[in-house]
Formats: sequence, C-alpha cells, structure tokens
Amino acid sequence: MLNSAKLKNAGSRIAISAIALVLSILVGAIIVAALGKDPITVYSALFEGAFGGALSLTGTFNRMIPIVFAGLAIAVGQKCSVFNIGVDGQILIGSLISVYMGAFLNLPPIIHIPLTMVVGALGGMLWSMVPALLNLKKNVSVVFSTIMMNYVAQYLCNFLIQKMPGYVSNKLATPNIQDSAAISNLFPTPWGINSGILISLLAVVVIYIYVFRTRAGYDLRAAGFNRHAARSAGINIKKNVFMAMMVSGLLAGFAGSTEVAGLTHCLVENYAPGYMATGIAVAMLGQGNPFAILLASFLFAGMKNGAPLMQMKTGMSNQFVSIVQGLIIVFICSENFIRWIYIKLKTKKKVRENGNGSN
Amino acid sequence: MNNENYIVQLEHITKEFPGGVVANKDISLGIRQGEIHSIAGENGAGKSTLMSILFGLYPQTSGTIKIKGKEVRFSSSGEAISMGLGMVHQHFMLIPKFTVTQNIILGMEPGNKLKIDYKKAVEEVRALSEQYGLNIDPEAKVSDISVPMQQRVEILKVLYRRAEVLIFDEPTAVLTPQEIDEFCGIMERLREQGKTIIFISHKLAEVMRVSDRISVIRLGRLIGTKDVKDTDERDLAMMMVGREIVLGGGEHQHAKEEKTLLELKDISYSEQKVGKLNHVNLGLRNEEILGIAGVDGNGQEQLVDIICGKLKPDSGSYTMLGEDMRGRTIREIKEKGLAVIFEDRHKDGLVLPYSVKQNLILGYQNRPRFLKNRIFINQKELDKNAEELKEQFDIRCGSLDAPASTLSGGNQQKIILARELSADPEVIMAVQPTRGLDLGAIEFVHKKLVEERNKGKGVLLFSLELDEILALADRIAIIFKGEIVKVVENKGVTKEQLGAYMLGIADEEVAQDA
Repeated sequence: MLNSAKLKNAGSRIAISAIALVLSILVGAIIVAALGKDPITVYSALFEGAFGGALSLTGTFNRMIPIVFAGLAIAVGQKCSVFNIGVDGQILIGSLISVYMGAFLNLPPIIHIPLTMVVGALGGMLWSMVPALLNLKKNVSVVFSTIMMNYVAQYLCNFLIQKMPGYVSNKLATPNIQDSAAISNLFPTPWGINSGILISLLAVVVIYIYVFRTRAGYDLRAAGFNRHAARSAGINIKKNVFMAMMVSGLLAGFAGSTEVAGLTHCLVENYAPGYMATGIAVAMLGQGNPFAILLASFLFAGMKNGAPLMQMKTGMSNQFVSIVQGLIIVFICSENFIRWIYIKLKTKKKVRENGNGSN
Repeated sequence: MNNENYIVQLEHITKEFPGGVVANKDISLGIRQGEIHSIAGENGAGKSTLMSILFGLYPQTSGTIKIKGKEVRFSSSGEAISMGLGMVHQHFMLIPKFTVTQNIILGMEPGNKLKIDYKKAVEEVRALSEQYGLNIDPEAKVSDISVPMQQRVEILKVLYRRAEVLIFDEPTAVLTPQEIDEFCGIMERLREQGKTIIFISHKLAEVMRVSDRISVIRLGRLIGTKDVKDTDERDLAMMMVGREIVLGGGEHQHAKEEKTLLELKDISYSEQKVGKLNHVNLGLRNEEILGIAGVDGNGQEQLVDIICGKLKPDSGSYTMLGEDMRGRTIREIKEKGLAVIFEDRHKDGLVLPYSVKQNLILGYQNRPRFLKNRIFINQKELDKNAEELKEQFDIRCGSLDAPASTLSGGNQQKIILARELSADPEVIMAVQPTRGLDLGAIEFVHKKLVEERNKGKGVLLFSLELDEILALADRIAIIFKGEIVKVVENKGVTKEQLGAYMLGIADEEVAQDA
C-alpha cells in the first residue's frame, strides 16, 4: 500500500505544515522583538513551561484532551466541506449534560462513568443536530446557525447553572460530579495524566478508520471534494452533510464530557476556554489527518501550558500563544504561497545539483 | 496566391523546458503573406508552444524568428504586438462588466493621461467592425453578448492594435456548426483585407475548409507542410497521429430480438415558467446507438438530467427495462442499469483529488465486491480493479495512486469509460463524450461505444458534433425547442438534412432540398 506516489504526496504535505509552523514561529519572534523582548528567552520559557519536567508535561497532556476532540470535530466537518463553527456551544452543552449525569445520579462507576461520558457527548450531538436539521430541511447556512447556537448555549448554560440545585455561589459553578462518575489519572503525581487521554487516542483511531477506511467515509470525502460528481455518482449529499454535523457534534460533546469527568469535575459560569479556535488551528495544521491532528494538538497544548510560565518569567503576555495560533491558520490558508516557497526551495536544490539549467 | 513571400519565418526552432521536456524540436516553417495557414496537431504536440514563442510569451531555446525578413527576438508579447502580430486566445480574456469598446481599448486608451476619449474609441471600434463585417455593437456589455460575438470582440482587439498576422488558437472549439460557418466567413473577409492568418486547431474538417496550407506537428516535430489541395482529412489525421485513424462504427444490422430498454413518453418540463421540454417521446432499443442531434440549448441538458434522475419531469412517463423511473433517486436509476458519461468530466465525472484507483469505483463503492463486512472499503479489490481496468482500457498514468487531476483529458475520460462500462450497464448515456479529446482518444471512445452496442447494450449519444453522430448512430433523433421533431435511420441521411431538422425546418421543405 505504501508506494512512492503516496510517500511523495505525504512528504510534500508534511513539508507544507512544517513550513507554515516555522513561518509562524519566525513571525512570532519578530513580534516579540518588536515588543522589546528577546525571542529566544521568550520561546525558551514557553518550551520549559510546556515540556520541561514532569509537571509541565502532565499539564500539556491534560490540556491536549479537549483540543484533540475539538480538532477532530472540525476536521470531520471539513471532510464534507461543512464548516461546523458551533463546536464551542456543543462542548458547553456536552459539559452541562455530563454534570447533570455525573452529579445527580448514584450509580456504580462501571455504569456511571460511561453514562456520563456518552450521554454528555450525545448532548453535544444534540446541539449540532439543530443546525444540521435546519440545513437539511430549510437550507439554512450551517455557518450562521452554528454561530447563533454558540450564543444560545452560552446563555442557556449560565441560566441552568445558576438554577442548578447545589449551585456553588462563591465559585459561580455547578456542584461537583460524584466520585463514581469521575475518571482517574493514569499515574500518581507528578505524572497525573488523566485517563481521558486514552479516550482521545481511541477517538483518533476510530475517526481515522471511519473517514479513510469505510465506505461511509469514502462517500463523505467525495461529497466534500466535489458535490456534483458525488451526486452524479448517486451519493446522497444531504445525508452526508447531516452525518458530518452529527459526528462533529458528538466529538465536541466528548471534549466537554472528558474534561468534566476527568479534570474539572464541574462547570463554571461563562466558561469559554476557546477550544474551537485551537481546534481549527490543529485541524488545519494537521491537514485533516487525525494522527497529524494529534501531534498538532500536543504542540498547541504545550504552548497553552507553557504560556503562564512564559508570562511569569519574561513578562510576555500569554495572549502571545493565541497570536501564534492565528498565524498558523493564516499560513496554512495561504497554502499556495507555501507551496510556492516549497517548490522554490526544491528547484534551487535541483539547480545546485545539476549545475547549469538549460535556460 | 502569393509566391515565396514569407511574412513570418520560423527557422530551426527548438524549445526545451526545465525538467527536460522538449516541446519543439527543430521546427522550420514559413507563413506566406496573405495566406490562411493552419497548424494542426494533437493536444500536447507542441503547436501552442510554438505559437507562444512566436507571440513573445517565452523565448526559444535555439533557432531564429524572422518577421518580414528581419530577425527578431521578442522579450514580451508587447513587442510582438508592436511588430504586427496578434493572438486571439482560446479562452477569452474579456471583462464581462465592461462594454465591447472598454475591453478593446484596455491598455491602449485614446486621450490624455487624465481623460479617456471614450467617444472617439467607440467610433474607431464601430468603423473597424464595419470594415471587417463583424457587426458588433461597440456599446454592448460583454456579459450580454453571445459567445461567437465575444470571439469577434477578441478579433477586434487584435485588429485595433493593427495586427497584420492574426494567430487564432482553437477558435472553433466554442462554436456551434452554424457559428462555425459565420466564423469561416470572417476569416475570408480578413484575408481579403490583406491579413495573414495562422489557425491552430485539431479539428480537421475546419482546417480543410479554410486553409491555404497546413503544417502538421507531432510530438514536437514538424511532419510536413502541405497545400490544401494536396491532402485530405484522412491524410492529415495520419500525419497527426502516425497511423491510420478509423472513427465510427461501420455497418451494423439491427438486433434480432428487439426490446425497448428505455422509454420516455410525453415528457414535459419547465424551469421558472419557461418550457424546456415539450411532450418528448423517445425510445431506446437494445443493440443500438441512438444519437440525439440538436443545436446546444434545445433541451438536451434537461433531458439528460431527467434520464439520470437529477430532475423530475412535470408530466409524462419514464420507464427503463419496463420499470417506472419517475421519482427514483439518482442511485436507484444507476443501480437499475444506467451508466452515464457526463459532459463535464471534471464536474460530474471525477473527484479530482481522489486517486485514479478511487475514481475507478466512484458510484460503485456500494457493490459487495468493494466492501469488507459491508462497512469497510476492500482495499485489495480496489487495487485489483484498478490494475485490471488500467490494462483493459490502456489508462496512462504515473501511478494508480496519483490524483486523477494529474492525468490528461483523454486518460481522465478513459477512467470514466472504464468505470462505467465495466459495471456492465444495460443502458449507456454518453453526453459529449469526446469533448476536448485528441484524435487518438476520440477513436478509443468511439470504439468502446460501438463495442457496447455490439454486445447488445443500448447507447444514448448526445453530441453537438454532427460528424460524430453520423459516424456512430444507428438511428438519429433530432431535438428542437424541447421536442423530438424527427427520428431517422442513419442510412443515407446528409448533414444538410440533419442541419435543417435541427433548425426546425419541417419535413416537406427538407425533402425538397435533399
């Protein structure tokens, strides 16, 4: 199955993401310098906070979990040319439903844990189903409806959190979920990586198989690449768009439920960790490949984890990480520009190897 | 005709591109003043490269160009234009929102730096249009005028810049048969006014019709230059491809056991209150090729969409193999036994980012053969299928895992043919199946369609090329204003007769002219 054509294609795609990453880091360095700080010091502090030591690495791995899910959610939508930007809202609803399941039921862990996780995820799927149905039945643009649903989710959650029995007013949060619903860490401190990471790894594998190895995935991608040809081939476009939204919402729901069950154990008002924006960045950097998204998520989680230390040590605002995140999105979008650089580098290499060209 | 009075001379032109591709190998030819000289060759033969070099788009690797006896070396097309060369491109370069005049004067506006003397420009354009009998309204907006009119605007652009030598790149590709007649008239008028014309084309019928001399290029080399009276289409085809080309199906008897495969009765369809199909009656039998002839825009598009299931007719019945197909999904109709070769292979026929292998099962990915446990794609069968079809249909590609976008037009069409025909359909609907293809590829498509017919299948052939229909069809149905106005056996019917039916001329009048 592995042959030179596939390797060449993979090689150039990896190169493009790598170049985009390098360019973002370089532009980031320019910004740092423009602010009067030394880029090397800043990036070192960031690196240290991300990967330097057990506690840092643990933090990075834990931060990675919702980012992986968010990235997968965006990527699956993208495979069918659907722009699901309701992921933030879907994560919120998923988290809220998980809290309901986790806090107010008393069940043995063997039932409680899967129940909390799965029903929470289904909550996310429910939230994506509304825009999906509106699109299916009434041709409402997914982009608009999902943005609206984010707002609805935000205010609905705030309202329901406040009204929840056991509301913790000094934390502005829901009560904690029961211990029977919580998922434990894999190792004792300082390596307290949450077992949610295993679920995210499983999701990566499952989604990879779904998108790239099943017939449903074949239909999904065909519909995403070329609606006309897919339709002419008998593929039901509307059904595939709907499926993409549902799976995307489900993944977003898992982002919420794994975080609640594993790390936060509750939901606070006005919770806005911005996983969707990071999800978009990792989905793009990973160019839609679940394993690449996993890697990209690790990188971004590292940046997010290292930001507070960077701020503390160098005074560079931790918003800087968001800037780099945005730069990556910009550079990946300018894929043609990157390809041009890549081809320029390749031909320069070839010209040097061949001596004189024929022009 | 003028004697050795060369206005353009190309001497030993060679062009090598970085990467090793030699597009032109030692080509020498002379264009006489006042002649119409055609450069014929397959796609990729090197004729466009040669003309690009002449027009200054890029320099030759070696060799000289002489204009009116003087050696020139262009570093831009601007220089070529100032030496009296003009190129009318295949893909128009017009701004739809601008008027005809605005497009023509773009880059050469009369007046001073502050104000364009638009009125003067309009008058100049009108005068030119009259001089050459082009009948263009200088103030019309380009988006409002027809395709042949837009082409004339391109011609005017070139004449406005005082071109003496006009290079036309595949000009008839976008024209209907009637428009081609008008175009040939324009070429005559240009020649009468003393212009020299270089006509790049692979459409041999037209090349034979308008040229004084023809140069054939194959694989980068000049095969020969002949006077039009010393050659014919078959000879040119052989020079272009290197071997005898046989198009069409040859003699064929009707099937012994006749059955109707597909039947449309009284089909009507309108779009936004505009009637597109008006009580269409059509029947396709087994072991036949039924050609649908007609000028573009007479309902063919809607008919194709109804047959494949993209549109639902307003009224009438549609049956295939005895079963009612009205209201069925595209997939259901396909699974019943209809294979379609769509007009636009990039839009409807292929998912270009998918590999050749993946495209070879597009539309058939639900078949048990290609599935494992009903959910997973059976990669091994996919690979096997691709190897088999590559062999059977001679699909030329670097690797079967390469994206379909990397293949040539002819090979892309082979993917579609291979996929659709190997699925063993009962009915094949081919819509403009040889559009944009090389002679070699056209021959291949025709051969395959005839093979299917001989196997007992029914082929519905929609084509705007009358030659193609006459070469392949057993019966011909003519569509005019959404109606099937006539169905004839393809025995002794002429192009003129078909042309008349296509224009809606009634039977009695046609019989009189025949």
